[in-house]
Order: sequence, then C-alpha cells, then structure tokens
Amino acid sequence: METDLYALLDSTRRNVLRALADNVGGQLRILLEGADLASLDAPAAEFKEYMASHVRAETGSITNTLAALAPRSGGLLTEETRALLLAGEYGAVATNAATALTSGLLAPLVSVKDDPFLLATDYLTHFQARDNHGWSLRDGDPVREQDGRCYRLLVFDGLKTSDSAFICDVLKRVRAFNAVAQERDPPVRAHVSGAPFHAALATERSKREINILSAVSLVIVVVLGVWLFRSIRFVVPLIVTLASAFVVATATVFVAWGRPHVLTFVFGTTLIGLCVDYVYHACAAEDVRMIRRPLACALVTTLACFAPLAFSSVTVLRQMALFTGAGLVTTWAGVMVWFGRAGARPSRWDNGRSARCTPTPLSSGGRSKLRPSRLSFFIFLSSLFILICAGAFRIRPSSDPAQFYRPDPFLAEGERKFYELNQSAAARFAVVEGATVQEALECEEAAGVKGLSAIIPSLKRQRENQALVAELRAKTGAAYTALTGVPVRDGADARGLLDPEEITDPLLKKLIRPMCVKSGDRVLLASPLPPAGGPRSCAAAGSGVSVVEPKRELMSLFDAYAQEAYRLLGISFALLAALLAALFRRRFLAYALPVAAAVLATLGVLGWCGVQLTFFHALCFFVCTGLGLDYVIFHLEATASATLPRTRRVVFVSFLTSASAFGLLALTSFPVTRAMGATLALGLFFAYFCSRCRANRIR
Amino acid sequence: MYKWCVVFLASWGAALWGVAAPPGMAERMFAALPAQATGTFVQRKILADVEVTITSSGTFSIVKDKSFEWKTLKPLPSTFTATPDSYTMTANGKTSTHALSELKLSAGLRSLVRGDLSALGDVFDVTEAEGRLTLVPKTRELREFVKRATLEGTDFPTRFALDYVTGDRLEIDLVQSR
Repeated sequence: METDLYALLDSTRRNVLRALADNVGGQLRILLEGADLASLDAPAAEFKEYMASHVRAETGSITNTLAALAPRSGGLLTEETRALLLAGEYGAVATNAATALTSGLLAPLVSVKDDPFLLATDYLTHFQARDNHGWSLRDGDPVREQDGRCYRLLVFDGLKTSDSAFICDVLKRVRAFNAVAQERDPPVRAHVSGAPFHAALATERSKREINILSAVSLVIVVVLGVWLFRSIRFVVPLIVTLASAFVVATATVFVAWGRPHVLTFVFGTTLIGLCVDYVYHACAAEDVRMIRRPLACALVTTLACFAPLAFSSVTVLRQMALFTGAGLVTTWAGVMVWFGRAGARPSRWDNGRSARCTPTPLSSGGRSKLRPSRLSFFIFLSSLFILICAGAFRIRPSSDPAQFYRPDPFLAEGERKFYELNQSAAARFAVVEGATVQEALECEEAAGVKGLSAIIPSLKRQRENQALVAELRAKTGAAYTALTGVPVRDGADARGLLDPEEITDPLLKKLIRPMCVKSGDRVLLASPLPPAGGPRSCAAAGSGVSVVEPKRELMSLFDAYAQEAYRLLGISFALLAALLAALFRRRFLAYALPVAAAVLATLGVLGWCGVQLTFFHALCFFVCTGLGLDYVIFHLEATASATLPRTRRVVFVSFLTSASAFGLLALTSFPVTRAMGATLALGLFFAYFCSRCRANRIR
Repeated sequence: MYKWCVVFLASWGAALWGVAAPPGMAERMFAALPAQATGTFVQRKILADVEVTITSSGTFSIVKDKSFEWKTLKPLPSTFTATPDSYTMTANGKTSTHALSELKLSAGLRSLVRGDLSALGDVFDVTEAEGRLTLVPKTRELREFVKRATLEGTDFPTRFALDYVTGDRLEIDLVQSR
C-alpha cells in the first residue's frame, strides 16, 4: 500500500519531491539548548550513546576527509583563481600563494609537495568559509550561539518508519530529560525535530485511537442493532456482509493498481455506513423481495453518485470509486443471497408494531393540508433552513497542507526552534536533471546554479583546471621556488580528479547526499534557493533547471484535487437528477430535493463554523449524497405500504449507527479524519432530517 | 578551518588585548600590558614535508581594546588588521574586510578573539611551566589541525609557537619597542 503523499503527484514532480523528502525523511534531530557549550557536552554524549543501538554513527573525521580529498584535488580551483588563470594572470596567482605562505595566516591543508601554490588549500578553505549561517562544529556536531544561548544539534540518519516504537521511546526519553534537566546548573533543554518523530507519534496515536474507536463503534452497532431487532441475529449477517465487501473491494483495487494509496482505504471506511444501511433493511424486512426494488434503487443511485469519480484523471479518486463500487455491489449481492435463501419468513421483530400506524395510501395529491399551527412551524423551519444555508457563502476553500496535520505541541515547539536557528532551511530548490551525475554537473555549471558543482566541479571542468595549473607551474614555477623555497615539480600533476560517485569518505558522502539524488534512471541535483529572489522558473529553455517548492507543490496538488472533486460532485448531482427522473418520473423532485437540501445545509453549517473546505470535505459529500438518497428512497417507498413504521425505525437506527460511527472520527487527533467525521455526521443528520420531513409531508 | 589560523592571533593577541584573564602567567602578562604596544617580529614557518623554512619579518601594533595590526614587510608585504568587530587583509594591492561574525569560530574561540580570556579554558587545556604557557586543543575540530600552541615571556610575550598535526610548525619571535 502506498502511504507517501508525494505519490499522489504526477510522475515528474513526484520523483523530484520524493527524492528531496527521502533525503531528510529518515533524519531525526535533537537540539540541545543551554547557557554555554560545555554544559551540553555530557547530554550530547548521553543521547548519542542511547541512539547508537539503532542508528549508524558517522565515524568520519576532518583529517580522514582531507586525506581522502588530497590525492583527488588536482582539479579543484576557486572561481576567483580560475578566472585569474583564464585571464592569463599567472603571476598574480603565484604572488597570492607566496603571500599566503609567508604571511603565516594560512597553513597548507594539502601537502605543498603536491600543491605548491596552495590552490587546493585555497579551494577547501574557501569552501569551508561559505556561509554556514552561524553554525560551527564541536566534536562533530553543529553548534551555534544566538541571543546569549548556546545550541548543539545532534543529527541521526537512517531511521525507518518501522522504527516507530524506538522513536517514541526516544521522545519519552527526551521529555524525561527535560523534566530533570531544568534542575541542572546551568539548566539544559532538549528540543526534537524531524519527520520520523511526527510519523512515529502519529502511528502510535492512530493505533490507539483506531482501537478505541473500533471498540466504541462496535458497541454502538450492537446496542442499536439489539434495540432495533430485539435480537443479536443481525450480527452475523452484518459481519459477513461487511467483511465480504471489504475483502472484495480491497482485492479489486489491489488487482487494478498493484499499490493503491492509503487514502483510498481511509475514505473506504465510509463503506461501513452504506453496508449497515442495506443489512438493517434486509434484516427488518419480512421478505427480502419486498425491499428488492428500494434496495436496487438505493444501489443504483449510490453507484451513480460515485460513478463520475471512476472517470477522473486523478488516480486516487478512481481508486476510491472502484473500492466503493465493488464494496457496494458485494454488499447488495450478499444481502440478496443471505436473506433470500429462506424465501419468505416471518419477521421476528414485527410484534404488532406495524399495526400501530396505518399507512395512508398515496392519493393523487398525497399531501395533507397544513393547519395554521403547522404552517407557522413550517415557516419557522424554512427560515431556519435558509439561515443555515446562508452559511455556505462563508465557505473558504483551502489547500494548505497544514490543514491536514497538526503536530503535537512539543514537536511543534522543536520544529519552530530548529527553523528559528536554521533560517537557511530552504523552502525552494533549484533542481537540475541529467542522465548521469556528470551531465547534471555540467548542466548546473552552464546554468550558473551554485549547487553541487560549486563544491565538486564536473570532471570536464576539473580537467580544464588541471591544464590551467600546469600552465601556472610552467610559467611561474622557478620564480616561486626562488621566493619561497617550495619546490615546484615539473611534469603532470600526480593527483587525480574528484568524482562524486567514487566518494567513500562518510563526511563527504553526508555533505553531498542531500544535493544529489537518483530518481529512476535520472540524476537530480538539488540546491537550496533563497526565499526571495533567485530564479523563479527555468533559466533557459532546455537548460534542465527547474525551481521546486515542495509546500507549493503540495498545495497545488490538493487544490487540483479539490477542484476535481467539486467538478465531479456537480456531474454526480446532474447524473443523479437524470437517474431519479428516469426512475421516479414526476416524483423525482421528492427524491432529489431532500438530498440537495441536506448538502446545502451541511455546507451552511460548515460555513458558519468557519471551516475551510478541503479536498477531504468534498469527498464526504459523495457519501452523504449516497446515504441521503438511501434514506429518502426507503422512506418514500415505504409510505405507500404498511411497512412505514418499521422502515422509519430502520432508517433511524441506520442513521444513528452511521452518524455515531462517523461522528466518533470527529474526536480523533488528526485533522483529516476530524474533518471527514464532522462533515459526514452533519451531512447524515441533515439527510435523515430532510428525508423524514419529506416523507411526513407526503403522508 | 580558519579557526586554527586565528588561534595564534587569539591566544596571544587576546592576552595583549583582552579584558579578563585566567590566573598565572597570562594574568601577569596582562597586568603588565601597556595601553599601546608596538614591536617587530620574525616569523618562521617550517614545512615538514618539503623540509623548507619560510622566514618573514615585519611589525606589529596593538592598541588595547581597539585594534591590532600585523604588518609583514619581507619577503612579501601584507597587512592584517583586526578590531573588535572586523578584520582586514591587504595584500598584492587588494584589500578585503570581513566582519568577525563571519569567521567560522566556535563560541569559545569567538570569545577568545574578542579578548575574553576566560574562554581559554573552554577551548584549550592550559598548563604553565617554567615561564611557558602550553595550550592543547580540547575540541575534536581544533585537534584535527593543531597539536599544541606555546607562549613564552615574562612581562610581554616573546615567543609564540604553533605545532600542526601535519608536522608543520610556526614560530614567531616578538620584540617590543621601548
């Protein structure tokens, strides 16, 4: 099953964003804060020792890194030096080197035997002098001072989503540390940051909430069912039908897609409400043949409701349509088979209840005249309804990914702290694509993007640099030796070139990992861009450079999905209107109006509550429409028969069961499920209420 | 990596410049410091791998809490000037000025460069024997480049030496002008 949000994007953007996210997706950060750096040494050592059991430790050192770089530094030149050499200013370069040697401020990082002009040393020093935004190193960890406080950042890579139990333990340990660390002198505090914490906490929370919700829902279903049927005989057919529906629906999407998205199954839980409805009606009927027509109408209309999703360009919407459709058909077939086996049988629940209310046959008018007191009540209800629906004008759509996730306060505090100190954390990236790393590096150099090529130039450029240095040696070597005493060897430079794909040093690999990612058979080089300024779009046509903003991409994605859902909802309503007209002819308004009213009223309440409408809210209206139509169909079909009281009770219990089950979702800690639960509960309430009012009017 | 190259400036420059001081030799030196000091230096850089010693000479000038100037006259002229907030390098007709905040220094080194000798203990293990102050780096990063620094002198530092892990060595002899 696919769980990645980025998998919802089209393949080109998906690969880029997924690659960018994967690079830091497994990174867990602990930020220690204290009055001075020395006070952070012991806590840092404690946390590292604890983490060592699960996370690989970086064992690199700068000495080893320099030792790995030195024999491959033959082609490394700073931009300034390269420009001087290209301009023929060999004397200036030699003088700069001699000054650096004699002034005593610069010590060679690469042996002067191989690098007499200190070009590699200059390059490495220049690279190290890049803006690190206030961070330096202490025993391998980034440290900084800000506003009188000292910080030390512990970074742990390589964690997987399956490590959620360990990560939750780390979180507990950090909280426990904070509880006592404030007593230390000086006090120390630990903050946490990184996707693994959020994912692990969300996983643990969702497991807990699913267990609780499942238990409570089960109790509600059983209690209401027993109240309705005075028996538990409904349980077995309900479980069998539900289980069959889910198995068939799941198998269908897996066969069709191989790896369907988890959102399909999140939405698919709404199938429960639809299944419960059919089973309850079948259980309550004396003979399932009596409800064959309304059940068939309910199935057809609900399928018509979801049908437009099957033709969407958005894969996950097609998956949802197939899942729901397969599940519904299986439920209907299961009900027909299970309850049709014994043929006509006495209903255990009748017990004379149906005798309490004599149904009024439908006359040509089919409506009772409103008495004055009822008229005023009707006017009051209508006014209230209009007021509620007016809230729909306050609806604001939103595709901000922040709407879909609210972090734990402690995690949110940690992320805020991390980004406060790490202003360089980029929201935008320049991405260069190539068939190979070298092709991408050359593309980057040609486009002038300061990415990986600013650290490790392409091999082509390094060869050019080598040729320039050979010229430097030839033209100024003798004079340089005379001035400094440092010998300049004749002949070719013995040092090799630096290829990012051949790097084995752990510190260098850690440095370039975020900047160079493989995506299928392509290589992507990603470099952070400043928030303001910089390229907004491709540097030039065919340059292979694009600007990617992950948050904006996700917002666009959900915005596109929401627009698609609204469009399909409109098509669904039109299709349903046509279908209802075909099925019920002149009476189709009696079926359509309650559902339309329910949708409007739900939108109105959401609007008055200031809810920002997202893609997930839009999806809920498909379910509300489907279930609402079921309520209307059963109510109206029953008004012409003696089964009205029974049907009313079944519809009421079905509504209560579905509304309470979905309503419980509104109590979860996840904004998506909260939004869906609230919308569904509201929508089902109005659907039931409007269908009941309509049925009463016709009586 | 620039850190180590400022260490030698920080350790003895701060001793001449600073406000606070650890006890012992550095304290005595600090107490004897005039408000202004000038002098000459002879610097030897010994490159171990090519067995070459590069000698340079020049002048220095310190105004306590205000400025520090290191002027190399031979073999190639260059001038390094530092104030509490910035440093300037002039060589080969070019001058570049940078804020001290741009230097990649740890908090401890930054304090040292600013003259706070109380930070010496954060960055170095300090020992004193027979009129010689020996500083051994504490942090892993400094230890990757610098083995040891030593400072000799009574009322005024007369010799500073820096041993690099590569085997290279820097020696500076200072003579204060009277």
